[in-house]
Amino acid sequence: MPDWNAMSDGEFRRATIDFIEAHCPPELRHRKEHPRWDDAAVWYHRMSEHGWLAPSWPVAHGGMALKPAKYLIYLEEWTRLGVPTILPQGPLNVGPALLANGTTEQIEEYLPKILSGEHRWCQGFSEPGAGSDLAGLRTEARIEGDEFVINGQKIWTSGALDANHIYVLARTDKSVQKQKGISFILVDMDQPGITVKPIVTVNHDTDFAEVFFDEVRAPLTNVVGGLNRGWTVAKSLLGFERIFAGAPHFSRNAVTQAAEIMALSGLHRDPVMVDRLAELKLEVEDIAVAFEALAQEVRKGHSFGFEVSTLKVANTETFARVTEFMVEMAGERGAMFGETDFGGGASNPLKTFLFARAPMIYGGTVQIHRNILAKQVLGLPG
Amino acid sequence: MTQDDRDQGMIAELRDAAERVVTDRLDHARTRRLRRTTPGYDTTLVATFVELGWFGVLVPGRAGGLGLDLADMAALVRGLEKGLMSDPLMPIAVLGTRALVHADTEAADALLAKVLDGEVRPALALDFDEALPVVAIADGRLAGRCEAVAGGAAATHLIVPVRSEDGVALYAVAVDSEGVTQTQRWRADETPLGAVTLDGVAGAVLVAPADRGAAAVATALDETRLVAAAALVGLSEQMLDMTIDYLKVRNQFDVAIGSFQALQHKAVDLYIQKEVAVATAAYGLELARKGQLVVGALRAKGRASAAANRIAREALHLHGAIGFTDEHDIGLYLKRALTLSAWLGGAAAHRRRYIDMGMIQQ
Repeated sequence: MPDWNAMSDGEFRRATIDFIEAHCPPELRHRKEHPRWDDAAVWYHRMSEHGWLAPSWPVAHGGMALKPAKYLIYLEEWTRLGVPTILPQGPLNVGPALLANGTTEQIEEYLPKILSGEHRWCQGFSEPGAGSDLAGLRTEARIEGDEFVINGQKIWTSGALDANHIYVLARTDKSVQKQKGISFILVDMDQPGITVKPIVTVNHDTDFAEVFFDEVRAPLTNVVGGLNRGWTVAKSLLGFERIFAGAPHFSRNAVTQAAEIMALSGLHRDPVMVDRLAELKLEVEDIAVAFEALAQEVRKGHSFGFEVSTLKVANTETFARVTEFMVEMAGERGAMFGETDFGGGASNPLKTFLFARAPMIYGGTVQIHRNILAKQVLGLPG
Repeated sequence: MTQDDRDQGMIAELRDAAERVVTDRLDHARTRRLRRTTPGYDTTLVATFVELGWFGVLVPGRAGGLGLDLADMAALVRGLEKGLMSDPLMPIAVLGTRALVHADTEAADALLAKVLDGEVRPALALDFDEALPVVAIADGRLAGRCEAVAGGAAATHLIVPVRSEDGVALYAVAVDSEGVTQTQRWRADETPLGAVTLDGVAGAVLVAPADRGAAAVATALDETRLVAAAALVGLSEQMLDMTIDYLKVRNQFDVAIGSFQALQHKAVDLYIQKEVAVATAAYGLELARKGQLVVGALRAKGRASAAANRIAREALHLHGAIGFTDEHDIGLYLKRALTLSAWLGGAAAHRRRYIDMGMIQQ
């Protein structure tokens, strides 16, 4: 296994592209729909065989141990080359959560099964009544003998239709402050009492689902980080994800698409439109600089704090604005569903526009991130 | 009773009628069912529109219509769009019909005479962004392609612009004529947009001579823009109402999220946008009445498109993740707002017209 972090950024980018070109089945790339497990398993297994499945895990556990700057390149190329992310919760979250908070037994039991694809994970955090206020969750786990018995409902669960395991935040103590009575529990979905109901999005994708729990069982040993300590585990886990909320790969790809639409619609000859594209592109690139500065800090071993919320707000709102510009440039074609022929080529601005609504909501709405910044960074009262 | 009172009375009557239809017949399960179907609307509902005479609102009395004003149609469509129910009135009873009205020929009037009872439903055959299609006539046969025919799936007749050295003539072609093929693309709201191929179509009826067709099309487009602006205002009002209701009932952190000042201010900003759009849409109709149709249309359609787009985006956002689902109605309204704001030109297109007309110096 090469030392990825010793490579220059350019070398690593090349290696990433080479790996994707050599191993990712072309029919899985640039798909309109998120591929299901049966179609995409071959790619999951190839990533695993070649050691590309778990970019953030230590090498000893089968990961790439990528530093943030390299991880960003990895993500950028994944997005640019239209590579699907297949059930990423295991490599992205479960592995790191167990490495940081799990028992040795849990690490030895679960990590290899993530790499082999035997365990396919999804995340059971949000609930219909617990979105921005995640700690207000109501799914409950009572203890019976050596088991948890879980009842409740989760929502916005990506990949639930193909997953066979779910990690759940459940209330295990109702008598204390709401953050203090939550446990992080690993649950096998292959049992009666689990019902998965797909959610169709405005884009007609079905990657999300609702997951219902009716007397669902898990051994007490499946709690991660200790009973009633789930909030801390969840927060640390959101930490791994958090830095990439600030990564500009969506908006960079959107700027590329906007430039294509500008050329296709002949607006590249209009200096005002070119100026507006330049404004957006510079905004995206300057946010990328800010992200890179944060990545540098992390690379030096410094932890990052609430400043990532700055990037999250700036990135997601800029991404949305780029897509609004796309739709505007595309005129009547911008309001067509699906791939639209512009004469010299085709594009699908509406899909990107609709998709861009989501990052301003998931992983904390831009309002929640503004609240965090106001209180934690600016020190405002309230 | 003054003329103005009578006008306001008719507007109120149509607005109330639209409200009744929406109250009685609103059904977004149906809206969803009808997506990606042709003709893309509920035919029994549209039969009711015919019974109520709504296809004849803008047909002049000389051709057996109700001879009402654009403001009347605008009030009607504004009300219907609150329930996403105005199709196919705008493309057929406004755009296609008004093109025939301004053609002002006996042949056109003969078709118009059958619009009120729904027997003739004319759709103007255009390309994307209101471009005139490339259609030629040789030996009395039409050949060419019209890429973006709104209402094409509802139409009995296509009104086809044919360019020549002398100008733009308009021909009426029955959709079931030999040589006419129509396929559908889906707009953002998944209603159909026709793509028509004319392959040596015989029997086309000249409804506007070459010296009159271009002006008839331009005027009909501007009139339709005024009605579409009203439709966008209706959508904006509905989206705002839905959002304010949601802010009152959605609880997080043990309170209604509408109690958070950041969200209150957002809602108020959208309300302000809506109010400006209401005023500008009405002002556009007023300008049209005073003979300044072109300016009225661009002001109204530009503002209403901008407001509806912004309100739609923010309304979805204020609904949070549930707004991103197909199950929630706000997405249907967002896609309708995208569709109608792009149709016949959005805010940017109308800013360009504003500049091109030299109005920025005035």
